[in-house]
Amino acid sequence: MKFFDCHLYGKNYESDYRLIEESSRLGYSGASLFYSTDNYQSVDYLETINENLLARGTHPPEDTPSPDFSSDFHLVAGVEIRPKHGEDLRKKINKFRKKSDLLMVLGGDLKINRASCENSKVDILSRPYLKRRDCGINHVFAKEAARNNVAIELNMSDILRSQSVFRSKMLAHFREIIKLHKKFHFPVLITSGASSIYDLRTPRDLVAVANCFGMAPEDAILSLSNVPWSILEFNQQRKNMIIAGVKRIES
Amino acid sequence: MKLKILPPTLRGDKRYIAFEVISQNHLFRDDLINIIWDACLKIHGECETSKFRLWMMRIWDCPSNPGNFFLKGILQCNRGDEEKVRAAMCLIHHYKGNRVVFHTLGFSGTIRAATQNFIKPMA
Repeated sequence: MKFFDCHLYGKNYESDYRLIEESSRLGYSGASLFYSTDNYQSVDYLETINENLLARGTHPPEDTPSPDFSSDFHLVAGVEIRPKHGEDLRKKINKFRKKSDLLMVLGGDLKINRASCENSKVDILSRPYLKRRDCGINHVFAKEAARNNVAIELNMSDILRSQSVFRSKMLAHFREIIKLHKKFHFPVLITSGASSIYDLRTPRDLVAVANCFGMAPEDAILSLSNVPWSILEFNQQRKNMIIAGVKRIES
Repeated sequence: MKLKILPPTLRGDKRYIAFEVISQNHLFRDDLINIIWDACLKIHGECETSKFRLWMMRIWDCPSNPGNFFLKGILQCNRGDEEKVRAAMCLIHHYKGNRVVFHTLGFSGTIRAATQNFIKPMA
């Protein structure tokens, strides 16, 4: 099974390299680093990280705690859009869609959640429950997300960083989203949302936590493996798609 | 008077969880026991945690990087509850103001197999 961690926070070369190295050691076959719209243009070291990983993969160092260091790691850079309103969201999507491999919109505001679910150019709606008393999506948004193939992200760092009442409320939000997912079949992503190596968890550990909020282990494994890979595959073909359902085939 | 030990057929089934810990400061056996018990009590509650029959079997100090301490260990728990213990261990992130992370390496039915497969894997 090829696991993919779809949301790591990118900062600088050293931090990003350590994150990628550790996630490779923990059994992920790929990961995507997300940058803000301001920082994305200046990131030019991902190739270097990949080359260094390949070089280390063939000669694992002595101090590596576990020897299962995989060298074929798929690294992707994405943009995290934090829009102020719907019009701002539309402008930023149009600006970054062709430049980035993955496009993620930070949710929380109902108008942003709705606009993201209705826009097929968006890949992921991140944390629709952010700073809310409900889960941030209802049956209408869920139908739109399923129709436009917009994945809803469940960020595990929200559970990790919260405690007592807040953690139980977060689990309740996740349970609500899973209930809608079972009914409307929109894609759901489980991500670590890591910004340091202490936030990273093994895929099987995340599956065990997902079991706590009512997600079946098979669904959780799909959310960590098939769903992100299918989004990436779809994005590779996006430039050949003229309109929805029509694709240019090169002979 | 000491109680006579139960025959094997009456003893509860056990599973052994091999895990690794990365922490910012050095942790001792008692620290690990406190951390795991607290995590299980927080996420599953007292009633559910009482079924887990947690017991720390052994810990190993591993070569550490600067600023990070590595430990490996084997934890005994009730068979059938290992996924719940794994989820609880996954949710540990801080201990006494320092960052800590637990990664489960695998499950096994015997300490010997857990050690051979996950703690000291054969080349």
